[in-house]
Amino acid sequence: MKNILRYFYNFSVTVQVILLLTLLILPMNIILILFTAQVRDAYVKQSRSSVEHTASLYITELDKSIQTTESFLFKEVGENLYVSRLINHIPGDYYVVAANLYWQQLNERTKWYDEADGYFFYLESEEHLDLALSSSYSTRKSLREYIRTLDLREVKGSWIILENSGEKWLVSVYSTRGFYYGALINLNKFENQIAAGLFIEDASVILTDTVEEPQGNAEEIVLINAAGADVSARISFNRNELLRQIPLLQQIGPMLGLVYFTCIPILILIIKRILIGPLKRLNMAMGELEAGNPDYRISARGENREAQELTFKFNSMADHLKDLKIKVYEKELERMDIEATNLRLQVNPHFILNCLNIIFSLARSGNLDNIKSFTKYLADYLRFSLWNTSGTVRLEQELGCVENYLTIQKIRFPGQFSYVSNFDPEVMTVLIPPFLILNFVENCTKYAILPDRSIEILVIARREENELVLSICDTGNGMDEKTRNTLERGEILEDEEGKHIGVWNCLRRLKMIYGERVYFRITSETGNGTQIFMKIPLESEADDLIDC
Amino acid sequence: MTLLIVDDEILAIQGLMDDIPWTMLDFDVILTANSYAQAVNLFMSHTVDVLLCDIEMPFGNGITLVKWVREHYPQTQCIFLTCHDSFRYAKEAVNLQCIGYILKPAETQEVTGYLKKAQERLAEHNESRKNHDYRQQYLKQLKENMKPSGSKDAVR
Repeated sequence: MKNILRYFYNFSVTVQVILLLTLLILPMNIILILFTAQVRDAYVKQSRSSVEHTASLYITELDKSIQTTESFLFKEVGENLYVSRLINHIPGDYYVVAANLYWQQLNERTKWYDEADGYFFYLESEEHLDLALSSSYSTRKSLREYIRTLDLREVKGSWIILENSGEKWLVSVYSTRGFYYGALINLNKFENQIAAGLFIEDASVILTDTVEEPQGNAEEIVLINAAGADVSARISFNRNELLRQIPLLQQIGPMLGLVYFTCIPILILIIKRILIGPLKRLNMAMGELEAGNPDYRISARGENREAQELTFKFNSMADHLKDLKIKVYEKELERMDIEATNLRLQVNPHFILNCLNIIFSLARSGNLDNIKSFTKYLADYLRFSLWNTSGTVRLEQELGCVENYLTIQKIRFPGQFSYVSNFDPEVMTVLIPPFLILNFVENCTKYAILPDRSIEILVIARREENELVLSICDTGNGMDEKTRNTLERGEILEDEEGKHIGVWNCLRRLKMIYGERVYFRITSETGNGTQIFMKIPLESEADDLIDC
Repeated sequence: MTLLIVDDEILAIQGLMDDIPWTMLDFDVILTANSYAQAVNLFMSHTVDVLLCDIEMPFGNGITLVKWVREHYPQTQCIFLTCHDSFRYAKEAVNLQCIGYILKPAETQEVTGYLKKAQERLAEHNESRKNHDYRQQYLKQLKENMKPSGSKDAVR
């Protein structure tokens, strides 16, 4: 089962829909068609038996008529005086009265009894034919003439069917010594009676002595044989005509099945348009995005509300994605730029060259001890600043570098400054971006020193709740209000010496890492020293910081 | 002859002082200064013949100092001694008619060579000035001698 499902899931939606629709509709259709066929068969069967029943009732009646007629005729031959006279007639004798009386008798008989419709007798020796039949004169006349044409000898002894001017008669002929006698039963009458008794309107009822093959498949034939004569009722009706009488609902059953069947492709087309279409479109759009086409948007409006929402949402998502991508790129670019700037700031070529010159000068003086210590300080300083272009450093590392730097500067410019630090021991392992303190201390030795007196540089690091407070103060030159504002806003300071990007870059890094959680202040006045004061969130976990 | 060395780094000056073979050079007095201000003060109190000057200094750099010297003591021979191989500084040095632009750290011979060159220049200068003075003197004398007898036409 699971395998089948897994196999099924691999199909495209179109195939799935076609499969599902076919699986659902096809069996129903087949059942419906089979059921309808069965109902039709049952209906036809029922109709047949009903027809048989009705027809056999009338045929029984016909049989009864035949039987009574036969016994009557036999009785007459034995008992009727006129008949015996006519039988015993000798040619040339007077017979007309007897024939006439007998004819009258037969006439009476046809009026009052239900057996045969008419009687006739024929005296061969006189060629006298009389026909007793309650019908119109013309019918009687043509019938009489028709009987005359018959070769009575040949047909005697059984019931035969005669047809004359549209009327169908069942005729029996008997003879006793040249006296032929017989009876006629109007089959049309029976046919009409049977037809009237049937519930099928268009059924054709024929009483016949021949067996005909059914014409066409739709023909249903019911044959009922009479017992007393070689005659059978042949009732035929068109099956389709019959089925037309079935209630409407049962008739449209198979049609409905057919309609459902043709509905499958239509349904598939509709589903394809309203459901699969948007799905495919979305799929394609996703593919475009994936293939690196961020400007791809769905232009179709959508075939339904969900598709419209899908289109709208996809497009806004793609917009968002693009914005996000650009932002990420921008951030990445800024990060790279910061890194590059860091590198540029750290590897201050002037400083390195000047230091090398100092080493050279010390060597000139032959001052080996100073060369050793100076070179070591310089190496430590360079190790720190060249290897930490990104990431974070422990506060103690940074402070170590600051002390290295200041020692170097003290050797270079003795008596220019003194250095005082005040560190809370618990913050020594806090992680900070590198050069956060060094940057400002370097500025002190570059811009704060005075020609006439020594200045003091004070670095303080302490914890204040969840923040690290750093302060770098000096008692030096100070700066004017305009410079202070520019630096505090984090803008690049530009003067005749060029661009000063140290403070700007430092603030940029802080903003990038800590966002708005950074507090940064500069207080300074010309001639009255500078105080840098900053607070950053205390984060001792390196993982929380963005590489920068 | 007097030499003035200006550098904000005391150790650099000390190195030069310890290393240059001063006996090969004819400097009577060697002065040192660590800033623009100190240098200017020394110029005021001494006659400085040769100036060996660092460019990068706080509170007034070497270029500014030499500009000032050119203004007030045009006969002083100037040599720049700097860490910076900058075209801007080199151009300034040429404009200020410096005889040398030495990159630090520099070989002792190079510095010595430039100092020697400065001394030669100075000597030439002195000689030509002497000649010039002599010529002036001579012409003056000629003029005076010709005044009583000579006509205006003769002068033309």
